[in-house]
Amino acid sequence: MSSISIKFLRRIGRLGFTPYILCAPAIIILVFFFLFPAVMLLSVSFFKYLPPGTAIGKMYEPTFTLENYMRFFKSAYLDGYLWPTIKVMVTSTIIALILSYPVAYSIARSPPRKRKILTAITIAALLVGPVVRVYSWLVILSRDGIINNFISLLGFNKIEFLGTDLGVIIGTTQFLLAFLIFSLSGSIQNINPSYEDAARSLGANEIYTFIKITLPLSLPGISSAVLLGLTLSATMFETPMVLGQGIVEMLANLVFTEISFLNFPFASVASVMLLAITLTISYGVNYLLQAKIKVR
Amino acid sequence: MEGKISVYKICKIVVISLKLLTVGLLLMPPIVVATSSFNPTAFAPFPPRGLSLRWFETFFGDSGLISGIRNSIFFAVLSTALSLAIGILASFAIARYNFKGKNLLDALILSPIVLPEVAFGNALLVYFYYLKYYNHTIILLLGQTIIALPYVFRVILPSFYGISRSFEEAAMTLGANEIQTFLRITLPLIKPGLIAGIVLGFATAFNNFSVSVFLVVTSTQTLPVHLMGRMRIFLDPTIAAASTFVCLTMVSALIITEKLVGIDKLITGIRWR
Repeated sequence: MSSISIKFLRRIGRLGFTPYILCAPAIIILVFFFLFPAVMLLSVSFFKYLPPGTAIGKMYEPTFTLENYMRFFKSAYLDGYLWPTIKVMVTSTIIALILSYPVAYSIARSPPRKRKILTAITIAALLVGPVVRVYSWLVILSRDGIINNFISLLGFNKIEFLGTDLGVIIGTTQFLLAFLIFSLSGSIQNINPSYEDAARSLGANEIYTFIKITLPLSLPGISSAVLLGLTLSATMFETPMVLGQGIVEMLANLVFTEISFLNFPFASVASVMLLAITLTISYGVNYLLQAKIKVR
Repeated sequence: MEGKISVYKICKIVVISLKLLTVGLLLMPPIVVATSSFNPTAFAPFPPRGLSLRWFETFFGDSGLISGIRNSIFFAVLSTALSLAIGILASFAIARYNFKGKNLLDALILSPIVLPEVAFGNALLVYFYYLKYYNHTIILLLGQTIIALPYVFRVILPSFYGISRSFEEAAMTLGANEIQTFLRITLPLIKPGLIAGIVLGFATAFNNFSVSVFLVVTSTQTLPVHLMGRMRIFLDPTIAAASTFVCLTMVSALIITEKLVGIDKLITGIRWR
């Protein structure tokens, strides 16, 4: 029985179909449940929204309209809707970059034992999901939290972290750290250490070697870490949801809010814009950087 | 000369304190969550005022949390298994064959990383609403499988490239057929990649909130979704107890990985660029 099936398989193999058969499950699941939904998302964003009560059991009418996009750009312009998103993205990426570089450097250049410990800590931080992390920030930052308790013990006024940009930036920065550390450590590892050794043997001290050799050579790594930080913080969802308390609303939260109001077309517009922003950052900026290198 | 030394020292101190701050921030969530879950009072877990298992009692008596854990494990295990099966087949094809559309397939499998999770959750919701398909178990399973797939794929594909073909050729020469060779030779050789894939896939699916929240109904509510729903109301140490449980699961997964294959295997799956 099995020899027959093997023979059958070999016959198919000779026709050159084997790789396609092996890939079929991946192709089917991704086409039907990833690509088609994505196309559906894009089309719904152009559909006409029907407020609840206008038509029973229908949330949108499949007629083409730019209404949803107009509403998005109008409120983005008038209410400064994208401001909190951009502020959080830029600030937390910069802080996370400064914080993660030293650890990334240690991972790349330390003896195996120390490297292993730092790697384990970073992976553990990643495996502990965003929900647990956001709860730990709630314990620290809330009005009855650790920091405010300490502050009131010292006799100062309590600081409001929740529902402010500051709270969201703190949470987002912590979220980015582990990703940036691995991104940076990879590019630092790729720098040949003999360049640094050469500088040192010619009399440069650690700081001079770092500024003149390591930092310039790790610039491509830094730029891709920045892009990574920007895309990840743009799509952050749990952190602004809890630490922003509905006051600091980022684009990802707009998607969910609109879904809970059953406005599928407008939620889809927000999703499409979110994708547009991340694609622009990761490909557009990358393209610009490469063009600049070519000009040189 | 003296001035130079002091600048050097200041730089050194700044770098070391940055490093300590970062490591502290990385370790903070599990530490804070664990201390507040063992703290007898509801507020201000620092400094701890004693040791109590009170919140674990309420945690294990909480039907919502327990069913959340059951659902999370159920969906994470199934979707890891699915994405592992799909990922193994596809990466074997990509590593061993030259065929038209190979690069396209590679891009397709990695593309769920590019689409923001919130947008993907939204897309699936809209899609299944359009199809009028309401089997919520299948829907959530599909969503979690697709987001776990790229991570699984990224650790398994390099391990296929990493093994020498001569082992397989030897087995074939000795009379094993293709399937026997794959099951007895190839799979055992990529075991480290498989274990790393299982850990990453499980962690991705188990921790996921951004996609799941769009797809769950009360009966399929996973732990992260349940926790997030309660987190917005008030600071409840029962959540800390549940979070401690999550941390323990993840840390033990990490220790098991380290003992079996070494944690470095996980990095290829995590590293973005």
